[in-house]
Amino acid sequence: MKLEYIPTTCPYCGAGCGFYLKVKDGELVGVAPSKTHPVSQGRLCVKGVTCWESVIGGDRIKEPLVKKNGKFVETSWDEALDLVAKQFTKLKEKYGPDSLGVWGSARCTNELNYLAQKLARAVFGTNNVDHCARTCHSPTVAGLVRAFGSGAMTNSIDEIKDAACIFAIGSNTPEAHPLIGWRVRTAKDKGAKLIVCDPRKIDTAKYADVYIQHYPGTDIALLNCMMNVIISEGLEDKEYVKTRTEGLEEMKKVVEKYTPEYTSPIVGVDAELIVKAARLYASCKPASLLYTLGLTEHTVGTENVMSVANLAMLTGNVGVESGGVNPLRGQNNVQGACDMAALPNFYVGYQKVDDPDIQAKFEKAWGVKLSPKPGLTTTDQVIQAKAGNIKGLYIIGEDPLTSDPNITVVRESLEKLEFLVVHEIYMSPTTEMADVVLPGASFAEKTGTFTNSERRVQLINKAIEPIGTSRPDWEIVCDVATRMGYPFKYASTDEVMDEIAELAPIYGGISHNRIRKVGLQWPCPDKSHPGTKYLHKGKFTRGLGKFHGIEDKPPAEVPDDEYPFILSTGRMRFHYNDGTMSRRTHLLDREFPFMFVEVNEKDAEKLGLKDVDDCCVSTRRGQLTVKARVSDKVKEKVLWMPFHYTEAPANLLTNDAFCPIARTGEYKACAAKLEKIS
Amino acid sequence: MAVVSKIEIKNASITKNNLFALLEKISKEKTLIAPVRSELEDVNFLPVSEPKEICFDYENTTTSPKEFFFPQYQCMFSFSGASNDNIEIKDDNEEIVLFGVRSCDVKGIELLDKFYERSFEDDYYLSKRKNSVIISVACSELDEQCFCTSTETGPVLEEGFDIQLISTENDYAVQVGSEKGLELFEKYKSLFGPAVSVDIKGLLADAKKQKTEFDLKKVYNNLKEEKVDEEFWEDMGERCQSCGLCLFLCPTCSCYSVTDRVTPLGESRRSRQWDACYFRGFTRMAGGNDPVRGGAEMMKRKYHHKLVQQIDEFDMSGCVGCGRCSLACVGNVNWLENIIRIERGR
Repeated sequence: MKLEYIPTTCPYCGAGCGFYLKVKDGELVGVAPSKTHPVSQGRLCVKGVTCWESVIGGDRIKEPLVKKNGKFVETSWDEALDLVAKQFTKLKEKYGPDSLGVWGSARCTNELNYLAQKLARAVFGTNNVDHCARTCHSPTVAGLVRAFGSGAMTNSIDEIKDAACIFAIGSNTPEAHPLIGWRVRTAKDKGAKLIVCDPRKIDTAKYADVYIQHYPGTDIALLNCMMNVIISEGLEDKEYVKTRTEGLEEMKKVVEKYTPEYTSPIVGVDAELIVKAARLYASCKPASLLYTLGLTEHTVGTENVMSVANLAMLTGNVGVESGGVNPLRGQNNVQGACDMAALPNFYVGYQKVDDPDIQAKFEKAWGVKLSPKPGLTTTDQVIQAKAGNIKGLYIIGEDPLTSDPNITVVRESLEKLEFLVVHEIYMSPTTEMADVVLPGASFAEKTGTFTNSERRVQLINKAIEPIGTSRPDWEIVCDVATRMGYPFKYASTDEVMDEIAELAPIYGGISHNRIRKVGLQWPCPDKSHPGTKYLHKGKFTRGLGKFHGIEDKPPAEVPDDEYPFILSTGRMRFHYNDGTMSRRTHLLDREFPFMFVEVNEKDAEKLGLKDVDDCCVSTRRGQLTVKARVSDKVKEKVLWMPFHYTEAPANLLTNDAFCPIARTGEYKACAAKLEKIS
Repeated sequence: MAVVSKIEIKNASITKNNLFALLEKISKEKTLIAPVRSELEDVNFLPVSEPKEICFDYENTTTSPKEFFFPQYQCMFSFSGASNDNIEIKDDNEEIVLFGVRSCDVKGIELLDKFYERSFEDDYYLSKRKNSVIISVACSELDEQCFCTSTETGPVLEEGFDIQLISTENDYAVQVGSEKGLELFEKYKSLFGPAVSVDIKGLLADAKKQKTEFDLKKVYNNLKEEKVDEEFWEDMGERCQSCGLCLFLCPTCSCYSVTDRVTPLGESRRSRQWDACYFRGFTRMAGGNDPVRGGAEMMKRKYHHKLVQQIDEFDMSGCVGCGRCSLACVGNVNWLENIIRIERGR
């Protein structure tokens, strides 16, 4: 019997749990927890426990596929890679480098993302490189950089359990980040106060000290009102505000009008409840503020993020242990993909592409001329593809035809491309549209690093051989670059990490060898640095923390007589994003095998709708027939749908209106109609 | 036929050096499975090729040894085409010796034996058990999270083991308790020393005096008579996040589900994998009706199953007091604390 326990990092959410993959005679046969791991500490969520099963589906893509006469034909790697290199070279020559785009992936390793952006910049010659953080936490990076100077979760996951108060807004913590949800539960069990603001009565709402069920898209009004109360009652941390921040007066002027009486009808919550939340948050320190996509996936996403930054600074909660502003990152390596600069405006480690000194540094390191012009986001690459300006896309580990808002428009855009390459482990709506599909190896079949939400860079280790002829994605990118005349020569991913450490000061001290046992948290500038537990201690990254005065703005589309509901979308515990992995996992798919819409019981009664009845949800962009789930979980006039089902994709309905700063779509609020199907 | 054919207990002893030599010999002839400390400092049972890989200094392993008899995922048979001739039954007949199992886990395996031979004899489980010998090592210290003295499953065993080692001042007292154990003992007889008599009842009484958390009989009665208020179960039901990990780590949980699937290499398989009653899909019927009406009832059933039903059926506690579940819970459901609350009736 050959049985091994291979330590690795979870491929699902951004909590970054550690566990062992059980490998028996070369096959994945299970998962075992690790008691010593700093995040998971012997625990796991249902997705982690079952993740071994997600990558051994019989329908894994096993050979490269090239579309010939409208049909995919299995080919050799040589043929596929030659075609990819030839087509991108041709398009670059014909239309210029900025006609091409590369999508890195928050699902893939740091090493892959570093190489993907290097391919875009050094080989394609464009800064048109981005990744799926655009659909989630880009407003976090944009908003927190403006307020604090750094766009990452300020504190560490394990600090949350020691907070005196937890303020969770737009975060279904126990479902989306179960191991962070454990810290919330533990803090509460130890006597911490808990404030939950969410349009859905999620699990944490049930044991919260204050639960605020506001309407989707009214977060700024709610947060401004809390600050109004704190300032009018003199509960702000005056010393902190004076010594550590700037811009208070501008912010004060704006929040002045957001009295509880003024705000209550906007948010749909009793004024006293907001007052209670404000007092509690201001008086229990340290207070840890948690948020996720409930804040970011709005046209005001960046402003939502700046508003929570305002609130935390006003009460002196940033730069303190167990406090902070903590965006919980949704994907295993969304933090890392941002760090690695799968972003159109940065080089690795958040170094600006339009800074001439930085440009010179990378030109020297890579030995090529680089473009000083910031590139296009994925959002804008899709828009420009439709306009005919983007001609070729190289998408790695992403399925925008399930995950982007208003997928009808995304389809029209992708149809206009002259050449589309997709790396994937399973076929998806997006791979179906590709000219070339390259089979990637899953997390269990390769070595590299993921960076979790608390900035901890952690190893994944190869547990089994790649399925079929699939290859680790970083190797594929190297081969494409080499065939396009710029050799990428790396013997292994640790050599890639060494190059990253050389070029990105925040990763300066990180190497695979140093993180073999426990991951390191950046900033980690040199080889003797122990990593950084929490940010902004004593001083903000930008010097002084900056307040911004932010006015409440409604979502791009609000309910009217024709579409009287607000439709919001999100993730649930048993599934993950496009469902590629969770839908192929027996125990997960069995829990929620079909798409549904959550409806408030009073609304359901008016429509004569009962639990599990078929109903039709429609918006100006499309319609879906789904099962109704009737309860008091959502507020009246609000509908909620998960987005994990490719056969009934919620993003057929969502609005392709975007945050003007971060270019993230408004997945959390659009106008919808609900009808019973008789 | 019972998996463990008990014999009258035979006493012996073994020095630490000879134990090492014994394990060395076993590792050459059979598959030796023992606690191994990983690079990350977790201790789990793994096959070892030589005894120096074994960790002797451990409280208990993170995962339970049940996985060597009832694996998390197991192919039962593979098939191709429509003909019955193309069915290949996957049965694992490898002979294994499991060293270092704690008393609670030996009792856990005893309960699984009873379960899997109760009505339908489960060959996949029983064949693995019949090909195994367990050398258990009694705990000399009681760990904080465990409560075997209350569930009457340790720290030493009176019976039900193949070979039991009990640490003495310098070496080990050895007790041989089954035919399989005796066979192994006889084979390597020269490595064992003279009989050392151990006062097992005395050791158990001392341990009980040192640490007893609850009275099992009272817990049984309170559960059976439903003396615990609903609020208690509601709270626990709300805490459970349905990850299933506690039940996967539990040495006595025996549920599995069967699926037909095609592997990435194109082999069609019927396989089984661990399943758990904390998943709604486990009890939900076609059409959507779930006979378990919610989290509170789900929890109540679990405690009732382990601490009433299995005591009635198998005459032993279905909870062996290892405490693994409490250390795995993201909802802070602590079995020990809860059992104590059940004993108090609130």
